[in-house]
Amino acid sequence: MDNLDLKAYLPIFIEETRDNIQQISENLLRLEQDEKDIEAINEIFRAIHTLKGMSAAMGYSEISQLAHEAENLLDEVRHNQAHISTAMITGFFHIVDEFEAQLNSLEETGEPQKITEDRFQAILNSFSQPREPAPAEEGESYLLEIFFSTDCMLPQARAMIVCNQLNSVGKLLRTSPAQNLLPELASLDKLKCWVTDIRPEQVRALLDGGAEIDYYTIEKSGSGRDEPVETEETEAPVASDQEDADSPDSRPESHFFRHTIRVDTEKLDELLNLVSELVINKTSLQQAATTYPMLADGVEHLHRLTSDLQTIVMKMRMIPLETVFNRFPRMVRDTAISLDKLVNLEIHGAETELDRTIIDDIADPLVHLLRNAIDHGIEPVEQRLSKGKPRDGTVILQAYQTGNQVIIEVSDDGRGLDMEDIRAKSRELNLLPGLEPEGNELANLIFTPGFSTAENITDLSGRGVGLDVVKNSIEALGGSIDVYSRPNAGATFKISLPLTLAIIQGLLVKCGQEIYVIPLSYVEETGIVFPGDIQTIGQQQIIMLRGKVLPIIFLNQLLNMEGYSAPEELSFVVVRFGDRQIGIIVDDLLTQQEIVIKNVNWGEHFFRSFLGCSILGDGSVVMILDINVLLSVVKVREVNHA
Amino acid sequence: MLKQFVVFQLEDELYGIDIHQVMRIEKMLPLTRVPNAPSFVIGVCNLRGSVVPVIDLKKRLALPSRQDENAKIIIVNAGKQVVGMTIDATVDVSSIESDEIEPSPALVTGIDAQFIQGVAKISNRLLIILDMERVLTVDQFNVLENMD
Amino acid sequence: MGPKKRILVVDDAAFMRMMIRDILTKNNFEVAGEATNGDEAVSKYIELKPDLVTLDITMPGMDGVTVLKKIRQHDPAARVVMCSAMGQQAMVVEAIQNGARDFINKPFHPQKVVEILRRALR
Repeated sequence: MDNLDLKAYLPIFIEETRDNIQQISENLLRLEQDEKDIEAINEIFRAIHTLKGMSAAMGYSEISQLAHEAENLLDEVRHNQAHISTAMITGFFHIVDEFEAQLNSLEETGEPQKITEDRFQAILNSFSQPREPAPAEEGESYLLEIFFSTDCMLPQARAMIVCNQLNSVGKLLRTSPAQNLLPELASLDKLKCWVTDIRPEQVRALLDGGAEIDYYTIEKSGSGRDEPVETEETEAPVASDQEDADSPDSRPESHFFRHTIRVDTEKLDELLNLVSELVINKTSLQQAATTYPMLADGVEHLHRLTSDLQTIVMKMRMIPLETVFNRFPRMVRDTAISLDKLVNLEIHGAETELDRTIIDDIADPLVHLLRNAIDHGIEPVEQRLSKGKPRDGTVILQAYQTGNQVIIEVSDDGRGLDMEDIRAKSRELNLLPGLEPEGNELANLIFTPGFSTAENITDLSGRGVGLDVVKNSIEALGGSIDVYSRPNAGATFKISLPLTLAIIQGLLVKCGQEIYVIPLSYVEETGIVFPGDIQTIGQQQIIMLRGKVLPIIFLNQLLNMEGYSAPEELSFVVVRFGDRQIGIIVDDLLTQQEIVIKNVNWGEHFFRSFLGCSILGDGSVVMILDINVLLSVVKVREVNHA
Repeated sequence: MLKQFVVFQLEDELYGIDIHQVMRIEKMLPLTRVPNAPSFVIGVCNLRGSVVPVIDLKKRLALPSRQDENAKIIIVNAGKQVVGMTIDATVDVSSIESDEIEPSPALVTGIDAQFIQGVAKISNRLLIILDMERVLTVDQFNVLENMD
Repeated sequence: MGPKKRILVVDDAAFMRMMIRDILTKNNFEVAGEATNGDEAVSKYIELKPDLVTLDITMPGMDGVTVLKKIRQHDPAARVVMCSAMGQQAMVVEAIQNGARDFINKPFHPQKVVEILRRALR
């Protein structure tokens, strides 16, 4: 089998190996909590073993070798020859890191990285116990190269037999591929053996006359150990097919019973595009049906089919947040250790699903918030104890769905936000001239660009990147973020995200000669208003809605429309952004319909006021308003009933 | 090596774009305005189901711009970005030996040198070959132009 | 040439036993006995003390690898050659790790079987 065929397994290899790495990480953390957690040890063992087998099958002998070393170390633990220490866990994490680096390299280049001998040793040295010294060598040593014939059945088993035989006569120093990898290989055409304490004629007596061995060479060699690690072999052992590549115990049984298949995400995107086109065409047919009633039944049926299809495609794109959350325990552990704090991370609702385009972009903001919580929220141990708080701080990462939104909260039980600091800083930056915000409004100022103060920039959460960047990335996803602080009881960052980015329900509004879409998820209510109903309090225009004051803003002003003149009757759309409400004044409400979001991948910052574009049934392009971004420039105050 | 360029006219000058970067040339399409975008972004259009931003190439190059009834949109794909650009009229596709292309500083033209990949002569006229990546890179552009 | 080497043939299929017997006898080996399952194989080994065992890797009840372990428990120097079919790599590997001298693949090529047994008997 040539390399091309192996490449076909690469995506599934990467994916399953990531799963296994994840398993290892999770269980290492469990093990750190309870060093007697046999189940965790066994899980790690199983995952490493699988990883070893799979990488050997792919011909990645170095990854496999590393897994083998990890397996050996773990075996010592299993047999009580070593005990679990933080250093040991950290050592295992270094191995995990190396696996990850290898996977990244595979993903980017299709090739594993070379692990230098130094790197290899450095990883192994990170374990506290010294590694066994290499056994001393005696006498002459030889390098044997044994070529197996093409019709040799199970050359890897044959190679093992050769190794056993060589060892029974002389001493086998090293082989390539490594002896311990032989059982896992799917095929093999050449074996190199460095042997000592053996005479060439003894070798010949062992190897001659075997039909399975095509030929062999034997030459004197200095020392087996000094031989450079050969790389060419990495191409030799290849999987002949999936069945053979996996030893029977290397996969959890459930794989065979789960009725799922893996699909390339590009295909999913393609499918979604096609469905989107279909939705657009359906919409234009629906318009046609109003003119030609004979079409109505057919179009109605098409409508149902399309929306079912759309639902299914959207569901197919949903992934549980787990895929992002599960790397956090490790991150929190490392962060806490580096800051010398004690922190427990609780994760709830990891099964909550989101569109994968959102999932991809939510990780970085969450990392920032978690680091922030540990760094600025959770107090050092002495402080906590003196406040009468539990010694270990708690950070809770929680996700849940409500309506067509997903909420992700990051809470800590630390000191909370320092409101006086924020007030001082906001005065200094002149953020709200003439206003004295309180409570949440004040707290939310921490998302203002440039707000991060010098004192709270540490090498961890600071990085010169403030919470405004977090807010921007969340808003780029069509979401919003708010902070709630309880003095000395902690802070909660609450992120709201749309379930999906691809197709939304939108409200079409008219303003001047232009049509815009307001995502329905922001809309609380709509109504009609006459210019005479609009009052001004301070600098804020408002209307009274059921006896309550509603601040308003004209869409034409938000969008810098030239030559706009307001009609005699206007409409308002009440939108909620964050915890605030505002009425957007438009000329007219047109219709409510499904909107397929088409992104414009160019000059994003010019298109910032918009979530994207959409194509209507008549082929025209409309812009979808990004309410969060548009309104973030508007300083709306809660206006008390005057 | 012979290279091919799509040659078109802006005002009185001839400009060329590497033919590999040109996806197609369209007659003027209906545009939707993009509020709060820089003035050279004249809108977005529906190009067979995908939404493509359209820029006024003359404005982008800081040339005097006026509406032309025969304007066409040249759809280019440079650096994975698909963008439409308005041009006055297409002339031709020209083949030019790569060693006949000279670097830009040798000549003085009306546009910012950073947008010019090189210049060449075709039938005694000067052809300015545009560096599309530069033309379409907007990060460096003064975003403040548009801020109120 | 020394005395004929005595072989114990273990296979649950009569057909396979017959085939191995034919190959062995034509090539100057002696079939010391036959066994059709694992238990029988272990007791016949103890009883007959053969020079070598050909052991089918898959048999109903006790599988070949377990039989191999039992035999070698009794006699760590026992020479056992596994008989396997295609697609039993994992078991073959396991057997070798547990001390099997070699293996032969079904369908048998007489030449190869003889060669492997001779080598295993060295």
